[in-house]
Amino acid sequence: MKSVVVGASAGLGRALAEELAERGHALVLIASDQQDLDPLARDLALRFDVEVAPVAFDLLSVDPAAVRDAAVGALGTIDNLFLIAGLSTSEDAGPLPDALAGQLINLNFTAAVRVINAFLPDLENNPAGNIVGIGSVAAARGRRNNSVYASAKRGLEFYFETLRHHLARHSCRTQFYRMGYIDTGMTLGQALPFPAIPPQLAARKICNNLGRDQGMVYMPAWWFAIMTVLKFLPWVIFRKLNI
Amino acid sequence: MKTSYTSLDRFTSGEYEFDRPDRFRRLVETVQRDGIVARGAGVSYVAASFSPKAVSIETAAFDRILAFDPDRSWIEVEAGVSLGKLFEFLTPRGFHIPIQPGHPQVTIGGCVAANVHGKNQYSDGIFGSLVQELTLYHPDHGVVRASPTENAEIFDLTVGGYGLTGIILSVRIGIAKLAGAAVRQRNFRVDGLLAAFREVDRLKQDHDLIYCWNDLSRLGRNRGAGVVVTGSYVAGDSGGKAETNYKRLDPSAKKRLRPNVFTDKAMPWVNRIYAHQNRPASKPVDVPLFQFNFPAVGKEFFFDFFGDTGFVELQLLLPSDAVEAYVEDFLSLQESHGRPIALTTIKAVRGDQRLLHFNGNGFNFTIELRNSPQNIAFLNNLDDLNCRYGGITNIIKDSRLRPEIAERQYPEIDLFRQRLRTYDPRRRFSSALSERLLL
Ligand SMILES: Cc1cc2nc3c(=O)[nH]c(=O)nc-3n(C[C@H](O)[C@H](O)[C@H](O)COP(=O)(O)OP(=O)(O)OC[C@H]3O[C@@H](n4cnc5c(N)ncnc54)[C@H](O)[C@@H]3O)c2cc1C
Ligand SMILES: NC(=O)c1ccc[n+]([C@@H]2O[C@H](COP(=O)([O-])OP(=O)(O)OC[C@H]3O[C@@H](n4cnc5c(N)ncnc54)[C@H](OP(=O)(O)O)[C@@H]3O)[C@@H](O)[C@H]2O)c1
Repeated sequence: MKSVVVGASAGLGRALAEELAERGHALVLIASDQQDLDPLARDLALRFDVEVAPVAFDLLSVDPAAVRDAAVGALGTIDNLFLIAGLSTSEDAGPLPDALAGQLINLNFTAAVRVINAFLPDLENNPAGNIVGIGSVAAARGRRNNSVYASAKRGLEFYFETLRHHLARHSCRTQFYRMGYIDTGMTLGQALPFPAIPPQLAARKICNNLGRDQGMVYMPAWWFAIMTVLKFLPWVIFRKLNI
Repeated sequence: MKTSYTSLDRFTSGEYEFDRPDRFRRLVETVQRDGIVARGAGVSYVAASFSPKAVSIETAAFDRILAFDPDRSWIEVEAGVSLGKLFEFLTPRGFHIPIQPGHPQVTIGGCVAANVHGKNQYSDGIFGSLVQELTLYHPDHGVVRASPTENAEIFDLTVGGYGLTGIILSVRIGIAKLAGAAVRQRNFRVDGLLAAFREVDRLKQDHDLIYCWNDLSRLGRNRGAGVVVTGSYVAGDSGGKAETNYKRLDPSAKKRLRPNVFTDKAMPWVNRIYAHQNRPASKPVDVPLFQFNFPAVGKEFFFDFFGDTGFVELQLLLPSDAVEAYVEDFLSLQESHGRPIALTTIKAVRGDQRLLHFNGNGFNFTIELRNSPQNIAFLNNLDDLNCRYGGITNIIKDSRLRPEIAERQYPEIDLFRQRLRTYDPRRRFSSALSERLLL
């Protein structure tokens, strides 16, 4: 198997890269800093004896065709594409500096859609193909916190719905996760109302689900209960919540 | 951001500033301030990687294996890598790190910074002897590559420099071929403390690994009787994945149940049980390498059983020629103290003492006691005795070591201080340990 992990240098992406390497996948690792990708690539290649190509791209200013060309150039046919990179900020609660709003939309939605689009011709007829996207529980119901981030993730979720429909006529599969808290740099130092799961656990579950034709699912599954309650909370109550 | 840390002996605990960078950029960003210190696994007995005046930079994300050269017997790793991860990588490939402290959670950064010893310092030396090259980040110097031949001054200060010269990023370590992943263990009974020193002395040349456990939990006859444990590498069961699992030590100060099991009354019984379990067998037994390397694995409860007040360890390097007279004085001081010593061990050592290195010729004599005012007073008295016999106390083990004692025991401590100030006039890196010893 040959897999591309977009957002591989830290957090969930790094855990996923490790899990895939352990399962014998050849890998293309993408993030913005070569200094992080190189040591990870060397570690995985040495420990699991797999081919690993570290390629630095800043997704905020990337030509998606270049990402696709670099990946195909390194490994040939690609089987799995993981869109893991994401960005959130505590400032995302009301008016935002324009540049930051642009980055949140770009990284969490536009760049992901464009990268998938660039890989789609390679992947859609691959019987072993998978395209995996990571959304967020924040996208379940609009709140004043994480507003641009959650909207972008909701957009990505919608795109995956369309992608799944498109791929229904092809052999490639999609899986999309409304992710709950993960214990990564993104949540470091935050007082979280619910427990965060280790990224290794999320990575293992994502890998176990490869090959499934799967619409949006919560990870961990218990977020479904929490978000269903939140979703159906009457507006008169919801508007008063400071969440 | 704050989190709770404790030294493993629970002598120093509280809420401390920390960061856990997971990308190189973030590491560099977060280190651009005064008052920082690198933190490896944080399982040092003393507060070496935190302080109320510093931000601890956790290095857990920087734990990757960078290169491995089996032909020239070296491995290059990031400093946050644990001995456990390296064991898993090296053992199936027929190699090992010949000098390793007793727990797999310990990181290579911690081994370099504390210049640690393993189970046969007499034949293998201390960790610094394995370090061929390292890279270090200091906000005023950037990334520096250092080895005994390149930036030798920085290398010399960093190996055994308790994290005070910067963040060690990567280390190239010499490794050794392994006969097999098992150790043929043979235990010998000794009937007293002096006999134990003599037996360790007699057996030190002939075994890959050797240490002695002694019972000083009771006064009276045969005080210090114990078991010398020897080991030699043999072909055997590869320390496969299942065997490398271990329960992590928790170096956080979080409140949890810590029953004070190791009371003065209970200690003699605990020692009796241990002695019985480790009594010499009729023939040598083959023990998996992982278990022999890391004897604390599976006994993590030991640290909790001292209760919330914890314990204190004094690890002394005692010159060979002082042993006979020292043992006599030591035993009479313990007699007048009249309280049990929870744990006692002896190892043989050989090397040159320099700067702050816990090294020299003689024996490593370690005692661990419950942290109580009486025991602290005993240890403070013992310090004087130790100084008189030319002993030196291990800085990374003893939370109560006072600067005036360190100054009497480490002749080059001032040289270390001066050289550190020349290298880093702002003294950006500090820990509770370095503040206590005025480094
Ligand atoms: C069960 C057990 C058994 C032990 N057995 C032995 C033994 O047999 N022999 C022995 O010598 N020691 C032994 N030790 C002590 C242990 O080896 C040292 O305390 C070691 O330094 C702990 O490493 P750590 O990764 O936990 O480092 P920490 O406790 O986090 O830090 C220790 C020091 O290393 C520095 N440091 C850590 N990482 C870096 C880095 N990347 N860059 C710069 N500085 C860094 C810190 O600043 C600090 O000064 C044992 C400890 C335990 C818990
Ligand atoms: N952590 C949580 O609690 C949580 C909860 C819900 C959903 N999620 C989602 O889960 C996914 C993974 O989150 P995480 O916590 O693992 O994030 P993370 O720790 O911040 O890691 C993000 C990864 O994306 C890369 N990346 C960021 N910006 C990039 C850019 N401009 N170009 C290229 N790569 C870039 C990062 O590397 P560089 O920065 O070096 O480029 C890093 O490898 C994200 O989509 C996130 O939104 C996370």
